[in-house]
Amino acid sequence: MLSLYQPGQSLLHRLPAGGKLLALSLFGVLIFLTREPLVLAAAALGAVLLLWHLRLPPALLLRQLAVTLLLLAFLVIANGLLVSWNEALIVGLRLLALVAAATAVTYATRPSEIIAALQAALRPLGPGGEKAAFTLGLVLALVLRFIPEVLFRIRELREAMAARGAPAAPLRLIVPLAIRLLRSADEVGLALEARGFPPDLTRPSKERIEVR
Amino acid sequence: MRIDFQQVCVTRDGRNLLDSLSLSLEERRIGIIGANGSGKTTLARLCNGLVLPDTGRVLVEGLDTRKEVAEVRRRVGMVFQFPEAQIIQPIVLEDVAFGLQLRGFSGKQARAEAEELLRRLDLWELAERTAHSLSGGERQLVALAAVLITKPELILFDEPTNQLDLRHRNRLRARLRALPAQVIVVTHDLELLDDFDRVLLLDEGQLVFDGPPAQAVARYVAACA
Repeated sequence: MLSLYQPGQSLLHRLPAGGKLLALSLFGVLIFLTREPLVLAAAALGAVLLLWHLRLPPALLLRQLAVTLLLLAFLVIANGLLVSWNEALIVGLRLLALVAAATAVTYATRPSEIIAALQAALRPLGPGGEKAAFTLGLVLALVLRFIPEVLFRIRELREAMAARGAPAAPLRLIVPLAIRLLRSADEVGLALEARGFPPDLTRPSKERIEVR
Repeated sequence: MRIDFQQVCVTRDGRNLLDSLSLSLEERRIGIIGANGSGKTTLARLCNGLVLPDTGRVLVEGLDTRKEVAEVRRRVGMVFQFPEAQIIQPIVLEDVAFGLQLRGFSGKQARAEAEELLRRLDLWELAERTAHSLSGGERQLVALAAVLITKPELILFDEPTNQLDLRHRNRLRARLRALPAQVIVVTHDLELLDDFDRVLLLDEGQLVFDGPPAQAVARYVAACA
């Protein structure tokens, strides 16, 4: 259920997800084909402007990008000290451009649209493509779904341990966390079954559902 | 919709969860009550083939849940006790649409139907929310919407008011009343069953009372005294 997506009406929101992903991939390749700081600065500025045009609350951006920006700063300083400050500038601008562009696309694209675009790309790859694409989409959705649940369960266990006066050592969390997640996965599996998984993609569309 | 239980036994770890149960359910609103571990959830899950009988059989409109489970599940929806388990997709609108995609609708068609349903249920303000940001009550209502979109003939509810505050409980109760589908509700919320057509009281896997809500509740309260 983890998603950076923020609803909106910007131009980037309205572009098709497949096009955005393709453009992002090309952008990622192109900025690694040049070492010209001026070109990279223009690319980074463009990406930051793209992110800016989404008009997201600065506090939200800062909260969600803080770790990435710290990592970026660390890489720039390390490159500056260990290689050269020119190299640090190139690395910094490249990563800034990439992070800003990817963040903008992620904020402006529903996870389901990203999954659907990946499915569409995979569909022609072979026999049973439709089913494989559907399953891949479901797997990606489940991964997104379980990330915040794992974080929630960890917090819950830490609080339970703290309430009982026990230090919340990470090793102590592993077994109860695994048990809770397995139970949860079991329930999700049952719910998927109850909702009609596996999908019936073999029937002609008219027969697939008869709305009652 | 008629559901027939024929000499149904369910055993887990040497314990009888349901013992030689035979009955037919046809009423529009049916409640199931009883103490924890009495077999309520097992009975509900038998209706959509999530639990299969060890002996005997369950027929849903003549369809054997053991042999024709896919068709049974197309006709019987379920709202789980912990609705977060049944919310699969990251965004509410997508999750509601997901049920139709499982039935072969295109993403676009499914989305359009989901939008229409969320507006009709007065849940449109939740459409773009991430599922993990919802309150317990909102999750329950979204889970119900995700079931309603497939237009099931029968909806099973497993302790639907369990985690709800009074406002969401009343909202769900009103929604339950207005549902056109047949419902079977497993609950400890005895007031919820006031205007139901039939209530089953279970105790240790046995059906100990089957009748109108007032009498079933009185019997249950007396047994717990």
